[in-house]
Amino acid sequence: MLRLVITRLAAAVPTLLFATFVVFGLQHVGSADPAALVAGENASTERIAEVREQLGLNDPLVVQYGKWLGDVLTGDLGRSIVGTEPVATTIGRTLPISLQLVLAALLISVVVGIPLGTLAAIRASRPTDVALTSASAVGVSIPNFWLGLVVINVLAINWQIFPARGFATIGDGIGEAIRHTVLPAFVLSTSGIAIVTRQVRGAMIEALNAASVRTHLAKGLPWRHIVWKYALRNSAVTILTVIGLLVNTTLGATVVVEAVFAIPGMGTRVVTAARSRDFPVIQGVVLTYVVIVLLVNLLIDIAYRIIDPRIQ
Amino acid sequence: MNPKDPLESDVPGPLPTAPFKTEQLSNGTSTSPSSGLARLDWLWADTRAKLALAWIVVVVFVAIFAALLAPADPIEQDLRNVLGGPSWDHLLGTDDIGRDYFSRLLYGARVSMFGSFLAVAVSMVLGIPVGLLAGYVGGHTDNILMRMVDAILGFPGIVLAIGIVAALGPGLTNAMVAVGLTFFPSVARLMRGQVLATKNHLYVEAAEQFGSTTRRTILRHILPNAVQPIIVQATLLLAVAFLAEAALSFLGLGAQPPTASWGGMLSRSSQFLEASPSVQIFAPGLAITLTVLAVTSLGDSLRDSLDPVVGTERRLRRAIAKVSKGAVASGVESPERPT
Amino acid sequence: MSNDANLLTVSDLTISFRTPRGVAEAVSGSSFTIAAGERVGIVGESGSGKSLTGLALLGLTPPAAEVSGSIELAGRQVLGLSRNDLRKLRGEQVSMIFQEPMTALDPVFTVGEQISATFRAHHGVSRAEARERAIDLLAEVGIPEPKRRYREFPHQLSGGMRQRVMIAMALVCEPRLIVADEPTTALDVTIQAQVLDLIVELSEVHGTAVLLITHDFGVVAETCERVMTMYAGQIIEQCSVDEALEAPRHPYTSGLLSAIPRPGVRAEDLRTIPGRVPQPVDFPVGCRFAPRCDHAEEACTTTQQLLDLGPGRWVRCRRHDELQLSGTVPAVELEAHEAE
Repeated sequence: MLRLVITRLAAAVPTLLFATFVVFGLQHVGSADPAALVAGENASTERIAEVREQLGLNDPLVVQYGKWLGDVLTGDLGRSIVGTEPVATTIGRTLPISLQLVLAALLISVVVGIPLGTLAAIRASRPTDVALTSASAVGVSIPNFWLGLVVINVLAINWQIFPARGFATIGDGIGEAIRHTVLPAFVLSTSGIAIVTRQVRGAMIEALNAASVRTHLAKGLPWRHIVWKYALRNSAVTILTVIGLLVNTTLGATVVVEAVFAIPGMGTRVVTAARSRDFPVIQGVVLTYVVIVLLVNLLIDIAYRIIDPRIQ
Repeated sequence: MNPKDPLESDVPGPLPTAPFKTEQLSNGTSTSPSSGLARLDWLWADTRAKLALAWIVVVVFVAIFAALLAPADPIEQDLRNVLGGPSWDHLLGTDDIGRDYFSRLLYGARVSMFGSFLAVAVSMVLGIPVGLLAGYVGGHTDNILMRMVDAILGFPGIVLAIGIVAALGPGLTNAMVAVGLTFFPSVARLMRGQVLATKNHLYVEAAEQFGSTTRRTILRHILPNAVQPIIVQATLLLAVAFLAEAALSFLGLGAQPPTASWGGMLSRSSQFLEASPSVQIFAPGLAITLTVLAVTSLGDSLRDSLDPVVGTERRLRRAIAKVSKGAVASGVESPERPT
Repeated sequence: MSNDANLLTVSDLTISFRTPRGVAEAVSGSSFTIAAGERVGIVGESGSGKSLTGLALLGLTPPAAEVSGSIELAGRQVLGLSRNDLRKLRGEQVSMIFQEPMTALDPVFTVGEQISATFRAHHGVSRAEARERAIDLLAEVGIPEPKRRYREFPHQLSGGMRQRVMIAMALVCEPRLIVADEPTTALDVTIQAQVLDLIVELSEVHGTAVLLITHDFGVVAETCERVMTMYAGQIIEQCSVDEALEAPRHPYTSGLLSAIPRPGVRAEDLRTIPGRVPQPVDFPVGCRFAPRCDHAEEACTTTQQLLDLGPGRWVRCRRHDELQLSGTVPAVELEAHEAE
């Protein structure tokens, strides 16, 4: 098991490395001059040249990359151009908020999606299934920020059930945390529910068409066992794969949902950073996202082996 | 490194290949089992496809002829008539600086259409050659290219797009190029899969017959066979690009004011949520939803009709269900019905 | 033909499907009985309806199938049973063994768990008790180190062992009848004999009746006391195994026997039956075998009757008493063989 983890980690390193290169390259790709950005709007040409020297921007690209990578590995992600908060601190502050939201949304997606997908599978081609499949299609097509607006309009402003803006983490009390998390998590989970439903439906249909189901029936096992215990377990690999995919898409979608609900998470932060071309922050945040995704993939890879005895 | 992402497939299969069994956005209707009641989901799929095409035609038409159709200039302000409700002059009212909402809605179609096509074009222009190269040459080149592709796939799409937009500067074109860049890995993977599948197929054929496979033959075979899955992929990417454009414009990173875009319009309305007429909050969002739904449905139908394997599979399943003495499971519905 | 002392009485069983080309009768008017502890075989080609017959006994025919007639098992009518009653019946009163154990077993659960689950589904026992029973059964079907094997998965076992597990699963609740659908077809020849011996042994020890469905007469000859030959949905001959081997009364049965490879007969000399089994929609009027039969006459194509030849023996051939059909072995050789 340990060996498995290590081999997988080792395999991830080149990918991670290349990802860091992409992140690093972001600030050098476009038209913006990092030195000018740091020096400020009214800086003189000499000042800019000074800053450039300070930032080591005259070194060859590879050297810069090396330095940057070295810094990152020791935890120094630089400072924001706007205000001077260390990026690491920014991330430390905003990451838990975003994570809370993402985890809540993932939980909802899975807890709602699996039963719905199973239901669609056992009633395949019948009205229930057609309805669910259509609803799925709609669920993936709705822009989540629009859904957020509509939901805020109805539930928060008109009916005043949930707060329209802001956030509360678990540290602020579970009750408050839940109240603030429910709406954005639900909005965030909409397309997730749709995707999970669809994939579970497909996997369950396949599982229920397997020859082993006939054997289970011949043994006199109750249908609900066959569906929820045996078929579902046989679909576990697909479900895990979906979850992996879901983490990726949900992380991305958080950016927009946070904006709608004015949640001070990592997503909002990176958008503001993008507007002001605050590259240290952007790079730090993007890197964090990548690391999370790769970690999750690793976990899922390991989970595959636990769940399905046939995989070596 | 990535767990088997259902969006990706580099598993070569029999030609012509249905490149993935499941996609993120599409409906996966090809897995539906058949029974007497299967009529229902067949009919539905067909009507849905027709409606989808109709709607897309409408949107494209509006996008092209927005200038002729719009009753007013979309950027002309009228500060005496701010956030007005629907009236004969202004079908959907006016926005926060007095611009005609309806006209902006029509012009917004242009932005969305142009943007999503641009993104898909970028992804194809980059992805097809890369995939072709990787699959054709194989070996280390393939390895390295795929690792790079994997790395990019590891980024949540919007996040990477935002990063690239930050580098390039905000604006519709930049934003959609960024989106296209985030798409190109999946196109590359698809193309590579097609190349590998063709190679496999041809080597098998060659082994059975006399003669050797030349590089020419491989190339000649790859492109025609790849067209179908690429078109299907393009359609699905178009839908995602649509949503991405809306999101980026909503965030202020896409289409810039005063250009009218559906995402941007929603962004402005959200700032005046309480004061805006409800219809203004619904209209652009509905437009986006319907268009994405339509494009996705079209993609599904295209996939099912272009892929003879799926079509045959379906017909075969229905035939089997009728005369089969196979497992109970040819119709998943309640095998518990006493016989 | 109905006898209250019988374990299973099937009367006029008909299984049909609606197809675009009309109604297809995959099984037409089958009637037979099985006594307690008896081993009976059904022999036929694919498309004869033999598997469907077996499935019908457990109510496992596809939903599209329309089943009529009567199936009486231990005094209860199987057709028309409620879902719940049917579920209780399966695995407990009557079990089934399928052809391909690799796909028939669930790949993500241990073999032991799959046996225990069967037991727990019909008896309210604890997990530990069910586990004990499963291990006992694994030992009984001849699997060495049953405690260890309990925790293994199907893909870790050989084909023969997987089939033994299937048998264990089928036996765990001590059913009265086991339906075995081509239980050895997917196995190595050497293992086939072992598994067949096992089935016979278990049947005798537990008094379980067996309905063995196969295309291979040799399998039936080794294990069964009575045999039915099926063709195109109909039982065309029913008799004891000895009678079938010595002196079959239906040309098809005889044809099947002649086609069995055996020492002393060269491959080229094996007689085959020309033609193919027709689709259910295309069954001919009159005798369904007539188009392929060497002995068919004009009258064979218009009518067909079921003729009673005495207790436990009947045949669907109007020419049965005229024809001198050959079996596999002359009577003398058979006796000599049994004497060994």
